[in-house]
Amino acid sequence: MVSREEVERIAKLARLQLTEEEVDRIRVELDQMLDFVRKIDELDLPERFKDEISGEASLQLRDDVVTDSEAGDLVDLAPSRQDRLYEVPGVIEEVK
Amino acid sequence: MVTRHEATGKTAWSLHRLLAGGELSSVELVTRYLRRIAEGDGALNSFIHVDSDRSLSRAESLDKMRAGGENLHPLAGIPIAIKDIIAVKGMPLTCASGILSGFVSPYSASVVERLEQAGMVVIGKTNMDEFGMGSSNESSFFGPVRNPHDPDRVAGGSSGGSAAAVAAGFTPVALGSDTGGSIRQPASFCGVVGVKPTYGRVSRFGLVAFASSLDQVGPLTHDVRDAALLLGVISGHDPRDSTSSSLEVPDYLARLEDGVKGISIGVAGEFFGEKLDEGTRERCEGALDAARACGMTVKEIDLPFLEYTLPAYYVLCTAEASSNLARYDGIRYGKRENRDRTLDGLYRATRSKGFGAEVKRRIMLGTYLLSRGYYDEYYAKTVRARAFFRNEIVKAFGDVDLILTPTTPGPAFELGEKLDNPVDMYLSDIFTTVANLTGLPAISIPCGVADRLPVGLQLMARPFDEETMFSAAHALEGELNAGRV
Repeated sequence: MVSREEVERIAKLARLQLTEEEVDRIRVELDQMLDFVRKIDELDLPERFKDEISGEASLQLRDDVVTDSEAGDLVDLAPSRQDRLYEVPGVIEEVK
Repeated sequence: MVTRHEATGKTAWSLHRLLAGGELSSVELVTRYLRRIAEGDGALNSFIHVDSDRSLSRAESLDKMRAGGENLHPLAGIPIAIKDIIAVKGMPLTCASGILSGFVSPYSASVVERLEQAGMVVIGKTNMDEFGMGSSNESSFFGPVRNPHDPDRVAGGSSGGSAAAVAAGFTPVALGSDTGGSIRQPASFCGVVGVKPTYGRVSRFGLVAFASSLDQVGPLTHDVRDAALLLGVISGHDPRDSTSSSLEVPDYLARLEDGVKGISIGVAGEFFGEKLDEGTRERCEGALDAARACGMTVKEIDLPFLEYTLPAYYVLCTAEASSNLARYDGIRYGKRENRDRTLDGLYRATRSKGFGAEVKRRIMLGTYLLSRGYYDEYYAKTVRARAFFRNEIVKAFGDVDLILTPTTPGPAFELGEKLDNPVDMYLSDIFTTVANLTGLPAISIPCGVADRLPVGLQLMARPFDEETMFSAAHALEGELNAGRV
């Protein structure tokens, strides 16, 4: 079964905060889901599909020109802002 | 219980005739639908947002344009409901999630722009499973959607709201999105037509991303003609979506009556195994008789890789979702929880409070599968497996023009029935994910009822061969409706 530490590691990567109950429940659910997707292990791919495959489509590029933003001033959507700046918790500590 | 005919069960095509003939104005039409929604949607919960003012004022301008003798598109003045994962400027865009509650979209999706250019009237946003993750529409922040045929049963998901709204006569047509079956499965459960186009046929600009290599937008309608009409409008290259195809869009409507004699339909035993619901089996076998009656031939084919498609789908879609949903961090839009004043704390609190349980589960699984130690075993292998599936399906289409399957393993299940183990719910997609993994176009059309619940049948065609898919579906629909089978 997926360990508690593993669940907590994944939650940290996913930026999720889980309660004790949620960790316990997600352990069980992750196991159920992993049991299910593990079926892929059984698939024996023919030789030519065993290496890295390149995509069939090529990336479409557009000309490198400035176009107007069609959506107006998106800063208006911010949950917290000062004028035209997004307000966030500090990430740089003061050097004393 | 609402039946198709007592509802304002008219197709967009027949409404177009009434509008063009001056028998009805767009304002009258939209008013009727708004009234039906107000009277009936309390019981079904198919809409998250209805905009009466905006839609009536648009209907009014379209009536003026028509009165002024302007040459209008057949869809002009006709209402449409849009799944709340597709952006409509000025309307809420919640994806049925708490994390986006209150968010109003600053722009419209390309598909919406095209429909509005054709004169369609967006009446509102439909309910769905949160961020497209679900097969029953039970995971919405706004509560479940009930099936118009039996309110104790699910409408299907994730486009449950769109399917139920069309089935209940709240709108003649709707848009949905399909990543693993999310248009086709609810269409099947609600007894309406649902189309997932070829990957790249329709622009994803303005479709909130769940799994970018699988997502497509498509129509839900009463009949195949309406679906062809709508798909024609929304399809086409879009410079704002680098995955959209430059291939020309055929006139699907004109090709609808193309003869179907000689079209060969492949049937794979893998889709008709012992776990298939008996009523569904009977209806689908009846459809094969209908196909033969139309002059199509039925051929047995083998798709032995089918049992791996559903697990492969869940590896890919959860991995992609874990990446796509990283943007919901409370910084630039949506809800923010800022209790502990650190950046990491803000991220974790915002996401934990904002996302529902199924979304969290899938993000967790996706993150796990992409993490160090597991990436090669699961994700990398599955990407290679996907290439293998594509190769195999191309081989299958060497012998046949279409593949016919039941859309779902059984009809609509009861609310709450499949919530114990997440995998129980996933099995509902068993016949639909192959089309998303291989990029094929696929349609679900109603094919009768079993125990008074709608049964759907699915047709899959070669990439960008929606024409064959539509003409066969149209012929089958006619044969089945005529009650000859």
